[in-house]
Order: sequence, then structure tokens, then C-alpha cells
Amino acid sequence: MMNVYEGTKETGRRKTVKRKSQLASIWTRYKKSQLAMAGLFLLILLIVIAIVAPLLANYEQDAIKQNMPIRLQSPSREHIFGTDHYGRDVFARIIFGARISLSVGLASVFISSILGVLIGSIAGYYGGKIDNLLMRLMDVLLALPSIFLAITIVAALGPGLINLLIAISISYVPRFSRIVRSSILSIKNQEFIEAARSCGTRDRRIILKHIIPNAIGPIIVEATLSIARAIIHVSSLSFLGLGIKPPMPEWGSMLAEGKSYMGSHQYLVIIPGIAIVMSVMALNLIGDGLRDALDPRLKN
Amino acid sequence: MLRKKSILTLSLLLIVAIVLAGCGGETKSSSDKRDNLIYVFDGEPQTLDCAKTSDQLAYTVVYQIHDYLIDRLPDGTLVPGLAETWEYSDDGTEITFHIRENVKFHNGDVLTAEDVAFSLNNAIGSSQTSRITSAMDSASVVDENTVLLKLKHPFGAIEYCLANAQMGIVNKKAYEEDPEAFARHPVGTGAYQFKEWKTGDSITLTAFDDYYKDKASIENIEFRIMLDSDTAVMALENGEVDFTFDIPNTAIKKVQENENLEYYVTNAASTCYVVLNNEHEILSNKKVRQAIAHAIDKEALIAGAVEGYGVPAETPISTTAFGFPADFKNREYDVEKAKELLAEAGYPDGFKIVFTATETLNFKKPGEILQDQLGAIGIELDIKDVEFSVYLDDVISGNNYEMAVTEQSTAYPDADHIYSLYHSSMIDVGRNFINVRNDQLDELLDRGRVSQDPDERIKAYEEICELWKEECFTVPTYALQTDIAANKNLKGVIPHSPSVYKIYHYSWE
Repeated sequence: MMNVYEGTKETGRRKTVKRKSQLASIWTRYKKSQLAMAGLFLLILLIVIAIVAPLLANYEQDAIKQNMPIRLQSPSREHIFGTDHYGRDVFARIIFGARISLSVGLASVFISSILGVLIGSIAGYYGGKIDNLLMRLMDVLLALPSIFLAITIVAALGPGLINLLIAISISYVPRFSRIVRSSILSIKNQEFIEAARSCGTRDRRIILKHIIPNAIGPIIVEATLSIARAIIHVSSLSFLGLGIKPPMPEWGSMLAEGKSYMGSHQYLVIIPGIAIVMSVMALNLIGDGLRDALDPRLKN
Repeated sequence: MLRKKSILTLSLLLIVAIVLAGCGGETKSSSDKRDNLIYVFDGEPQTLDCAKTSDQLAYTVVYQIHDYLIDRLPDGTLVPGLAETWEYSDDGTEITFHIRENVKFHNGDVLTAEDVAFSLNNAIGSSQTSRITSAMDSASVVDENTVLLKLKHPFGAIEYCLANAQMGIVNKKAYEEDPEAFARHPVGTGAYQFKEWKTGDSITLTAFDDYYKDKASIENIEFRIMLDSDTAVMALENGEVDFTFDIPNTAIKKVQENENLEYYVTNAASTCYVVLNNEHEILSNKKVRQAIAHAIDKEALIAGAVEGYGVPAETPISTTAFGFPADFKNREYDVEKAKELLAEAGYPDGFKIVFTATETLNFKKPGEILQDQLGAIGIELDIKDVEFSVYLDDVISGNNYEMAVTEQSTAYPDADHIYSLYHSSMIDVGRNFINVRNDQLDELLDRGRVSQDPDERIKAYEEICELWKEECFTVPTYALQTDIAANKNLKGVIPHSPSVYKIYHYSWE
């Protein structure tokens, strides 16, 4: 992270230098929190595992192919997390499940943050009727709990990876748009915006170049926390049979399948449970750390 | 200081009160005899109009509300019910029933021959009942207490059919007033009368004071709907509910080990099989069906889907039925042969097909396993999870599906039970949702049904099994056990292969 900005420093442009120092100071503040660092470490670990999953296990052979003779084996040397009720390796399913959970989480938050920022900034910048229209629309969506909204959308579209992504993305848009709108309302009347406007800068440029960069802090925090929520929502929907279709490994559906063996083979629920808790906790710790680090009132 | 002390005293008092309250509850429950029974359902009946019911849950409710001409006891024997006596005509195609006198309906009406004939004809006319009524022609009133039932041909298992849930004797007046309302509030002569149906929550019944036999020992019954079977078992273990049948296989061990519960088990008169829509453009190809039969590993299916609590099924005929060929062997598990057959059929790379399943584990797990097994020969299963009522509409009544699994219980212990499922005349009016149209099969089924010679009948059913092996109309997978888990203080419970549970025979210790 640091290297990148050191590199840009050499270009000597004042703007980049300034941004670098700001990011560096954020990083310095972030580093101070041990919990936040632990979260970051956990997340990086998960991401690395997700990326190198094919080196650790064979997707078709270990995570998908059923092998009844070795069903329900407790954790052992060959199967460090044991095998499930169809004789599939739980470890392989967990690491491939990490790919699904993390990528759905990241992708849905990416989509919803872009949509949300767009809607929020238009509403906040132009105000008036557009603001009213867009925000009331968002209020309608916000009135429903996001998990409930996601269930409704999945029920309408049918289960599956893409539909799940759409459902979660839509249900997260209102939060982003609200956050962006409120930051924009506080920024848009400041002098530097007035200066830009008096120079004849177009609205689009003002929003993209001047307003959003100044409102980015809360968006990043919200995005990080939203990924955590999205992971929980993907798992919950899969747990209810509305998410990922079998036989794809997904933590929530692994939990649901393991549920009926809870009395005799506890590891089938404990392991996916820990995986969900770990990833969500990591993201929450990072989110909290970022919130503190991005707080403009805190100085080094 | 004083304040602190009084808070301490108060909290101590509170603890003592809670402990005492806990003790109180316990002593109360053991001394008082209970007057209610809570029964768990893992789904919800669609209707309580007995002639239109088609699932085990609804059967269980109507068995309590209605009486039958012939009554089937918990041990399986048949005894006179609302018919005190009956006699057959010489050619065996007419039965005269003498109806019991002074039997009262729940609404106060007295049972007449009119009600009986109406109920029988109503059941015969229903599209849901063909598996038991296909041999019946019509019923007519002879005099006030006599009813004549005409058959299309002599039929050995007719008495079992008349004792079936769908043949309940209903109150004609109440039914004709409003059949729709009747389906939500049935009126019969049974030991229990209908009280309330809260959709998605429960169905409650109370003992009928004017029952023609002694009043039922248990006063109130609640059928509590708990869609998640794991939750239902947990509720059973905690003593919140008293009775459930067809326990999830993963929970059997826990139930057996629980000292407050009694576990009852017997062989089920039902067979599970893979249903292939014989009119589907790809599945209508015999070679494809043969390939599917070779690709299915029944042992793995039994291990994975029912935790090993099942026996491989080779034929469509129930193991408990007359005419079941015990030594018959169907196609063996052979992936290479399956691939060859599929290539011969013109699908060397396989194909994609929709598999209709429900969230119930009995359907969901076989689906996931078949997805894996058929995937090995290139057939890709797209599992469509639907609600149970949608499954019934699409698969069982609508003939609108590609592939599914089902569990077929038999109404009577005779190989003829497969007639209503596979005879081509049963496609539109009956339960042939597999869409089998095969002249040879029709001829054999007819012979097995009409013939009076047991040896000839046995031979016909053997030939049917041979034909099955060749044509693979469906792929029989395994025969199940049927079980009950009940509160150990509940007496009179007997596991029963066609799952006829009559709470009238139960009592609390």
C-alpha cells in the first residue's frame, strides 16, 4: 500500500502528494488499533485461502463428488474437517465456499455502492423534486428489512447465484444512497464547490471529482460493514434454501445440511459456523477500524 | 445499607419463588391425567374433504373424524364399522351393506343409507381416489338401512379399499350445502369432531360425546403444523408435543435413546422410486430410461438419503403385498453400461433435465444424490425446489414435470395396487402421473386384477416385473420403514404399515 503512494510522489504533482499524506495518516491511525489489524489479517488470510483453494483441494473430486462409503467421518488426518453426509470433504467445501461467500459479498456491495452513490449524489446535489422522488423510493425499500427484501426478490426471481447477487445488491442500495446524500448536503454549500461552480465546471465533474472524493470516508466504512452483512445474508438465504443451488458449497447451506446431524456430528455445523463468524468478524473489525481512522476530527 | 439488604432479600425471595414454581409445575403434570394429545405435522393438508385428500397428513385427520363401512384396526385386521354386516352376490360383483342404526353425525343428524350411498358415490367420482375406487361402479340405496355397492368385476381387496381414509362416510346435508366449506370443516360420525383449523398453525379436534361406541379416552387432539422436521423432533424430545410419525432418519437414534419417548417401527407398505415422465421428449426414449436405471446406485441412495434405514427395491410392487416376487432382480448399477445406452439413444454427451423436489428431506436428499449419480453419465439435474402443495399439483395431479422422486404407499396388501398408477386408462382419471401407455402392461394388469386363480395372478405380476426391467417406466429405489415416536405414557400405539393411525385407540397412562 505504502509503496504505491511513494511511487506516485515522484510525479511531483501537488494533488497526489497531498492525497498520499492523507492516506498515510489514515493508515497510521488504522495501525494503532490491534483489533483492526487482526481483522485485516484474518480477511487477507481468507482471501488468500479462497484464491489458492484449487491448490489445496480438487473442486470436482473433493467438494462436489459424493462418496457414500466415507460419509460422516469425524475430522482425521485425511479429512481435517471430516466428511459430510454425502462423503464430501468438509475442508474442501469450506475453502471453495469462501470463494462464493467472499465474491458474492464483494460483488453485491460493489454493485449496490455504485448504484447507491449515484442515486444519493444526484438526490443530494440537485435537491428539490428529484431528491424527494429518489429518497422516497429509497424509503420504500428501506422500510423493509434488507433480508426480507432479499427473500422477496429471490422468491420472485428464483434461487441461483446471479439472482442472489441481484437481490442482495438491490436491498443494500438505500443505505448507501442515504449516507451519500447526507454527506453531499453538508459538502455542496462549501466554498470550494462554489468556486468550482463559478469556474463553470459541469455538474457531472463537480459530483465525481469534488463531491464524492470528499464523501468517500463514510462510504468505505459502510461498504466494509455491508460486505459482512452480505455474507450473513447469503448464508441465511442459502440456509433457507433460497440461495446457492446444490451441490455448490456454500457455508449457509452447509450449515442447513449439517443441522439434522447436530446431535451426532457436531463438526458439521460448528465448522461452517466458525467460517461465517470469522469472516464477518474480520470485516466488522476492519469497518470499525476504518471508521475511527477516517474520522476527520482525529489527528495523528 | 438498609436498601441494599432489602434488595438482597427480595432477590432471594424471587429465586425461591422461581424454584418453587418450577417444582410445582412438575408435580402437577405427573399427578393429573392429561386430556389432550399434540400431534406434529411436517406439512399442512390441502383439504379435509376425505374424497379429495391425497396425502398422509390429511388421511390422519379424516381417520379421526369419519367412520368407515369397514373398520381397520391398528393391528391391520378388518372389522365391521358402520356396516354391521354385509354379503356378496354369487358372482362377487355386488355387495349389500346393512348399516348400523342410531349412529349420530357431529351435527346431530342420524346416519342414513342415503348418507352412505352419497359418500361412496362421491368418493368413486373423485379423481384422487382411483387407486382404491377403480373397481367400484356405483352405490345405491335399497332401503332405509341397506346400501348396495356394485363392482365392475370381482375384486379381492375391496374390503381394504372400503376401510381406506378416502372412503369416509360424510354427512350428505352438510356436504351438499357447501362442499368448499365442508373441506375446511368436515362433518362425520367419527370419534372426534372437528373444532378449528388455523391455517399454517394447527387443526384441533374434540372427542364426540354421542359417538356410537364408547367416548374416546383422550378429549382433545391438536395437529400442530411444524414445517421443519428437525424442529418437530426437538419439540418431541422436549415434551412439547406427543406424537409424530415418519421421523427424519437422522433423528432416529436420538429418539431411541430418549427415555421419555417410545419408538415404534415396522416395514412400510410403501416404495420409493424415481419418477420419469414417460411422455417427456427425451425420457420417452426407452434406452434413456434404461441408462438412468443403470446409473442409479441404490445402496448409496439408501445410505445418503435415508441413513441406511431402507431396503433396495427391485420392483414397483410393495414388499408387503400379495404377488410380490421376492427373488426378482432389476437392472444392476453399472455406470459403463449406462453411458453406452445413453450413447445408443443418441445422447452421448448427456442432457439437462428439471428435477422437481420439495424442501422435505425425503425428496430433497434423493434429488441431490441423483444429481451426483446421473451427473456421472452426463445427465445434468436442475433441481427445482417447490413447496409440497406445488409438488402435489405439478407432479401428482398435474402430470407436469420431467423427473422427480416419490413415495407411494399402498392402500391394500395386493400387487394390484400398481394398477391405478400404471394402467393407461388411469392417465386422465387416475394416478398414472408417470404417463405410462403400454398395451402389454395394460393387458397384464387387467389379467392380474380380474383373474381368480392365484397362480395365474402371481405369474402376471412376475411378467410385469420382467417388462419393467425392459421398459424402466420408473426406477424403484428403496422400500422404507414406517415409524412412530410418541410420548412413552401414551398407550395403545401400534406401528402400522399403511400408516393408519386412529387416536380413538390411544389412552394416557
